[in-house]
Amino acid sequence: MDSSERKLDAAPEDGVLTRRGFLGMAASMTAAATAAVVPKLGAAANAAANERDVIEVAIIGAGLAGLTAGRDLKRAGCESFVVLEARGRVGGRTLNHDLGNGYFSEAGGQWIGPGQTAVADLARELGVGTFPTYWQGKSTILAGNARAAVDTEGGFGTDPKIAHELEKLAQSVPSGAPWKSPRAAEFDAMSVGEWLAKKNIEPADQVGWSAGLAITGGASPARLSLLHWLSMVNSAECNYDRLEAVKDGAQQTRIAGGSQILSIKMAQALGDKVRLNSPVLRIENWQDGPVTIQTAKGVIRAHRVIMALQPALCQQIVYDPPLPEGRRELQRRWPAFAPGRKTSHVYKRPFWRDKGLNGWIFQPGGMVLWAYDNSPEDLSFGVINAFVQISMLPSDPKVAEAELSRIYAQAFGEEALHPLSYHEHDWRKADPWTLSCVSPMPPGFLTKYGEALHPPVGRLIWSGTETADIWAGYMDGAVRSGHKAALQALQGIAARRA
Amino acid sequence: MDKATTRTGGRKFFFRVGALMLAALLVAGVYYGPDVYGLLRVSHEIDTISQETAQLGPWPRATDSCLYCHDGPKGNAGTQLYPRLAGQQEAYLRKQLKAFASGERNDPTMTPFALSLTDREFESMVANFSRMRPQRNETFHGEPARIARGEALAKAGQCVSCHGQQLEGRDVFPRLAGQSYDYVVDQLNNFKSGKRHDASGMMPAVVNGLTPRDIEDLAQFLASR
Repeated sequence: MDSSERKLDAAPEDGVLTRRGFLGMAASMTAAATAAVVPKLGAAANAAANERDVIEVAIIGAGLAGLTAGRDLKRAGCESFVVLEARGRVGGRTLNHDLGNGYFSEAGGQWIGPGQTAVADLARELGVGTFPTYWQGKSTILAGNARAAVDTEGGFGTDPKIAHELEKLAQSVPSGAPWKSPRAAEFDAMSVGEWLAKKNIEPADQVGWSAGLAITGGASPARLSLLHWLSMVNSAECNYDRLEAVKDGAQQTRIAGGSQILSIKMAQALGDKVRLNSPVLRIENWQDGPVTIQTAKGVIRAHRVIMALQPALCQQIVYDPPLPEGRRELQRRWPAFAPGRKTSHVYKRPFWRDKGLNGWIFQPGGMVLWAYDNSPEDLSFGVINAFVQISMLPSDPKVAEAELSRIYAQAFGEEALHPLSYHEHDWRKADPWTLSCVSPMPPGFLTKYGEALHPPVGRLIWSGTETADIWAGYMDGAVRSGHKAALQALQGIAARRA
Repeated sequence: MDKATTRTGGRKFFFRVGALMLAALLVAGVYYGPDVYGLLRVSHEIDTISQETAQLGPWPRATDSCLYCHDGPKGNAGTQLYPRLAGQQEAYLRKQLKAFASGERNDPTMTPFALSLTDREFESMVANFSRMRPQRNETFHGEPARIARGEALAKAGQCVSCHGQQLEGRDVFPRLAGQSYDYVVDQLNNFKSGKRHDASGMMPAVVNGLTPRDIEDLAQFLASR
């Protein structure tokens, strides 16, 4: 597949060659025998005759955004759509580790917080329960050989004075379109780190800010745009704790059955409209439609396409003709460089709770960025999840498990040395279909390229959590973006029929 | 470090244990001795860590972003999947970052990263990793027989003629000693498949005759140096 892709790449402007290459490819594919799949493309003269083979909407990406869009289309009475998914599973950046006996621990996005009403409503509609994240008790701090246990009251101990200053600045930065802030140029010209440096942060506190911004923002303070960070604070209704904390914050609530259950349930209801193992390689004729979508499993033709995947993944697809310059540059430069590696240690019981500990670990300068209690609601197991420093933790899972167990033993006691099982997921290496957890926007990006994030291009509707008006980057934003994209698609259908 | 500095560190520390709270903790120390002692020791350690990292340059440092995947704060990498950059030559680092940015070495992570750097950030990355002291790849445990076979392949391929007598890297040719095992295997395969271009044609010439097992053995040898 690699070689034919390159061949097509080599001459994107040469229509004849492209079409020939395309035909060859289409013919060699084992197309599923459904009305939506055209086994081979005829000449332009056949296009009209093939009109009935054209579906209304193709959705690319079966994560929370794409599946929400599909669910909305179905609820609006539209049956003429498919959801194309590259992986052999649904859920995108949500993924459950199966702990057995119907219990799960999350490898990806997992929390709901105050104001995240879209994902909370979705859970209720799907009959999925929620429960509070555990934070009661003392957090453990490990540095070198020293250990301390401190009650951080469900938060990360951010200096309230500085947090309040950020809250005030965030009021002028609309969460979904930060480049529209009247102070956009000023805020986007500096990093959060540069802004903080002016506040004379003590060296020891710099360590805390660096860890906090890495966990929530996906990059070090010098590489995160202040404008971007303020837009995130704005998503949290300009309440810093609501963004950052567990108690009363965006990490407050968990999903019974693991966060991936939302996508699994939506996909079940959509049945065979969801096509797994169908990475999209090429999109043709996107300007006026019908759009031709070439996947690894055949060709789909659709009047419009919902692109429910983040911009850097949109960039992995070949467009013929090429996309307009603004959108092209946005995709080419999109900061998909915050890969995450998350681990789960499973124990018989959450024994740390008996010791007055909440299962949290901070390890400045060490390999654990943040560990936390991810036990199931009924405490059938004790689970410690961790965000880890990818570079420092050995890549061999067995060795990684043992190293982390030793760190947990230093924090919680010897019981931690013997987990029942260990799970981990390195999102950058597991498959090519994620690339990044959140998108750590560097200074200068949003004001220069942000305008191209939302407007549809021809028949392509951009979706995915990055495009959300509120809580972009979160599960909630994904659901919101799915609703919005479905409305845009339905509007297109209505206009065509009028 | 004197006592006053330690106290400041404790007061301004990570969780912002305010002056009043620290005083209260010290009073309560009669009952909660170990906790207070632990807190002061942790504060002291964090002070040490922040002093050590300050040597990498004034905070905030753009290079801190690299360390999540590459090397870690002290060049103490444990991964075999992501490349170790500590001790790479300036010319090599510059060339690769430019190749990522131009798309010549296209990578969905590194291309947008390189494109996002200001000139100053770009040079700070180059300086940071060329000055970082390379360490042995302690987490790699190879098989002696395969390492020996890899050594013979390295000799036949004349790796040292470009990469240096100790495979320590020279000019635009990367350091290979102690490199992450899986990363080396990937790159050699990429040279072989043409996914990674080498305009000079040298690397394709070296790897074209190698079997998958040869490539693994060669990587075992390089990782274990």
